[in-house]
Amino acid sequence: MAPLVRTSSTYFAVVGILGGVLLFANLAWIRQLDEGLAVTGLTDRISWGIYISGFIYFIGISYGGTMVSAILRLTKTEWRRPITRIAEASTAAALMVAVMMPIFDMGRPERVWSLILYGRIESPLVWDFIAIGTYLAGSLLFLYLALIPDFATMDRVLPRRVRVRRVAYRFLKMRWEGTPAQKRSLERALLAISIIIIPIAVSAHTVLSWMFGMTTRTGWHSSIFGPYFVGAALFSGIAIVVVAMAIFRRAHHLEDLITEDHFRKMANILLVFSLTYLYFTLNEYLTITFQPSTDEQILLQLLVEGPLAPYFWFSTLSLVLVTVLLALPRTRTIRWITVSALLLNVSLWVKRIVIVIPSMAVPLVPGDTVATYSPTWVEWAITAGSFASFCLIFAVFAKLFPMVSLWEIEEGEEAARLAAESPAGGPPARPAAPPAVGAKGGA
Amino acid sequence: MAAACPAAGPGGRTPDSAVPSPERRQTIRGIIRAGAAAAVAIAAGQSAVEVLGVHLPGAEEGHEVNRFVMVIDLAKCDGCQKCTKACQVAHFVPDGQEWIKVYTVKDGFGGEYFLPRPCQMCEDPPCRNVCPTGATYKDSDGLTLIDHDRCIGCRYCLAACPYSARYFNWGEPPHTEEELAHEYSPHEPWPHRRGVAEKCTFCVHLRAEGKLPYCVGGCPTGALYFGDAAEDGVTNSRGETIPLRKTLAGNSAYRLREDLGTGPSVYYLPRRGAP
Amino acid sequence: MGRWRAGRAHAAVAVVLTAAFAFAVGVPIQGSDVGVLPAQGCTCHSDGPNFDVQIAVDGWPAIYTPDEAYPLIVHGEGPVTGAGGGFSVDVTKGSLSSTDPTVLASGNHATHTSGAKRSWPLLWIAPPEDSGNVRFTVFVNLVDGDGSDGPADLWSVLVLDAQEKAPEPPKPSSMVMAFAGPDEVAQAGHNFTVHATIANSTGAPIPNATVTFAAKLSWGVLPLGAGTTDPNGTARANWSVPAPGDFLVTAYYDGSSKNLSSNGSVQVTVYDPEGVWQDLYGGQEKGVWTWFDPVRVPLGLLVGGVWLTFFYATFHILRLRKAGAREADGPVDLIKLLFSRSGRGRR
Repeated sequence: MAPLVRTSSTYFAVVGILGGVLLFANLAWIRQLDEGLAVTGLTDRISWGIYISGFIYFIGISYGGTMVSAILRLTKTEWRRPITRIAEASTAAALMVAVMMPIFDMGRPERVWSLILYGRIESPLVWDFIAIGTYLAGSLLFLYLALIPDFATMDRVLPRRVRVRRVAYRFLKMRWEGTPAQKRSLERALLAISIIIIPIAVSAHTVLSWMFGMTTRTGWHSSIFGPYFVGAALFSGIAIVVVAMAIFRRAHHLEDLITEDHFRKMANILLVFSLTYLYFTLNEYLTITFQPSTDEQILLQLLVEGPLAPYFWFSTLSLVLVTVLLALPRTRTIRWITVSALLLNVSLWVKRIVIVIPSMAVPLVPGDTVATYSPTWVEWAITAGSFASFCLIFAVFAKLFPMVSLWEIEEGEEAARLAAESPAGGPPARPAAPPAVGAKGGA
Repeated sequence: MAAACPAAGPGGRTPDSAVPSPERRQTIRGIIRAGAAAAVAIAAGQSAVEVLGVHLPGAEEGHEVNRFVMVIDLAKCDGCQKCTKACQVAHFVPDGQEWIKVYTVKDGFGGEYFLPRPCQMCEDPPCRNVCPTGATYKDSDGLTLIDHDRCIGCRYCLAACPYSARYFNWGEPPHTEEELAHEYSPHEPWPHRRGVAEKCTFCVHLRAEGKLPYCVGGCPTGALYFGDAAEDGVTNSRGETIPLRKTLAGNSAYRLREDLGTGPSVYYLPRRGAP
Repeated sequence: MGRWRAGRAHAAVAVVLTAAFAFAVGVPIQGSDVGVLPAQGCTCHSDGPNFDVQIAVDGWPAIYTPDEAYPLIVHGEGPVTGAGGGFSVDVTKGSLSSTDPTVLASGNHATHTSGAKRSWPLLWIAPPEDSGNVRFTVFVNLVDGDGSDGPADLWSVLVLDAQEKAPEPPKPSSMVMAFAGPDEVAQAGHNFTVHATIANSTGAPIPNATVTFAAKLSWGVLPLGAGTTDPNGTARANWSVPAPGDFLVTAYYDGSSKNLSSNGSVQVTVYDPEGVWQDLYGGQEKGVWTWFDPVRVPLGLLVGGVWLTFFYATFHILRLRKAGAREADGPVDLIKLLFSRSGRGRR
């Protein structure tokens, strides 16, 4: 609970830096609003660049919360309890940043409301809008639901001087007391959302992949795009949660709650997805290699030896490296797992570029040339700003609510204690109110 | 806000402070109404722009249907690009955009030829299919046009077009007095504005005047022919009118990327005979 | 032949005779003197032309109409006893013939076969159009019948010219066009025929004339070919279009020297009962989006169902709120809490 009332200088430093980056990004955004997208490196041939690949990336990492919180909840996996809050927060933060990215990419951002008024349901982009909008609503609802008991705790426990937040907590806790009736309601709601958020998440990213898959371009028009994107998303989502786990563990001194075991279990999940993703990647590129068609050969040549080759090789090789790191026992320590996760995230961000841009570089008309693209400082600045805002949202969250789900941990401890005390399975004692937060976890 | 609604429990009194004020009720109602309307609209799939399609008159004699086609004789095109320039001048096309672009193609036999590529005016245009707001639409004559008042600049159409026929105003295009004095319409899309997509219109605005598109009329060799498939004849800049179906059948005419099923309206007559 | 005698008057004749000789064509050389081109006149009989001999050619037109047949009678009179004589005619253009057995006429030349008379009928067929001027040169010889070519036989020469009749200005012709298709209905995708009938100013049809057909399209004129008019003055052309609507077919007759040009047009209404246009180009709304329509409703229901789950969860949130103890968390209380100084707000 301490971080909620006390702010360390490290925090200010970090927020300061992130704020600085964000400010710079805003300047770049203002410049782009002023002069139009001409300040980017985009051309008529390669008309989607790192804004769109960044968009895909952020939608991808939003899967972390879904995966850890919803799927692990449904499978009644106990070790998820300390990390669900971080996971749900990462999903919400990722989606909030993700919806901004297309707005940076639009030629007329002031007309974004047209999507609602004049939306054409036949367009994959509108499907995407609906799917991601639903996903954002669902994930915020999910985050909120899981926060209700903790809001109640904070309302009770926090010192009086945090007035503004107390007002919020007072209202948001929805008069939570932990009564069985309330618990039942909460569980039902959580169950419903946990169940529904999984297909929502899968469809959101699949629909995003269809934006590319439904065109006729070489490299995009591939039936594996749906599973490909979902696989990459699960992958990168877990990786981001791992990174966030490592950061908050250190920052909030959660070493006892978030243990090495957690990291190793997450590493296992990552390994499984990594192998799956390698499998998909192999499928995708091997089938391209085997095609005699000119377009596919041009694409392949672009990837392997063209100007985008560094991106391709980096993302592919780092993927292999990460798989190895995750598998070897020596590198399955917290530090190395975190490093792998971080590398993975960078790798997947680059991979999104490899997905979006080479297919646009392939010439479509006889006699046309291979196109090139080089992002400008505006694009890099706004991309950096997107990362900065993602981290900043986390930083703000850390001040708004605990980054571990207190009630879930207690719930787990309670169940474990009861199971130990009455192996015959007697009726569990009814707790009057959630016990005060003990020394354990002391955050 | 998820929990904004007051709780009027069954059988319980509603606390006074929990009842929303009339103004709030109005706002809520308004939001719900707008949301419902949007949902219905989206579900119905009706885009208001579909209604915008203006039916152009057919030939003076009154055709019931139109389908505009262009026939390009590659044997006659010498790559001079006068078509490109004529179009650019007449439509104040922003710099760097070539609504009809002439490509130099190596023919695989050691020679080269020139391929002018206007918008292919597909029967089933990928650009129209993916447009989220319906800014790119097909009018009742089958021409794919852009409503620049509706375009949000997402550039999905640029990504989807298999012919690289669409362009985007990345920055504010330079203007001339003459361009600014003109009144915008999708048929005569200038003054151009930034942040929207642009492309060839088959000079739909010349239709009513009975004039050939600028590219067709400006071709010095008469390589470009234009006409209405309903009339089964196409005309070039020299006034030569040739029968459409017979010419296409007799010269092994082809269309670009026929395999994609887009159904372009531009036919190419391959070079035949001596180089 | 006789000796050439110089002398002014004779010189003039000599010029004439030379000219006549110059115009002579293919005169048969026969054993007798009959039919021999009298280059210098019938000099076998007498030395030079005698101007007492009067030659007349009845029926010779001063202005001839091309291709017309003109019956001529050549006769001569003079102070020569008897009723015999001979003649020789050369005409520069046209053809000569005669039914009279005493006349030998063919091509450009006519002469007598026997010498028993002094008038001979001829038929001259004028040359065709654009032949220009024609010169008719006739020598008539009057013989006294004594059987010798003596100086009592006198001859003379007459040269006549005729001009071609100035062509009449062409008169207006008229054209009527009509559509006549199978069962009088033009169908898309099928050939239909249009007629053009031309008539001259008197209303008589003009046969064997070339009529050019064309279709008037929006941007140009499509040539449909040419046809030759039949004896009724009608020419035909075929066309077919793939679409229904009204189409304009025009025809043009270039005219001739007699007829001015004329043109006509006809509007043909084409119907499309078989849906030919639809088959060819009707797929303007084809593609994947035709099957999307029935998917809308299930898709809407799906998305609606998802949002219903959200409402379900919200409902539970409200329920748990209701199930909780009454607390001071109305808007007023919250605002009070916000501004409470030492935070000793009501709990």
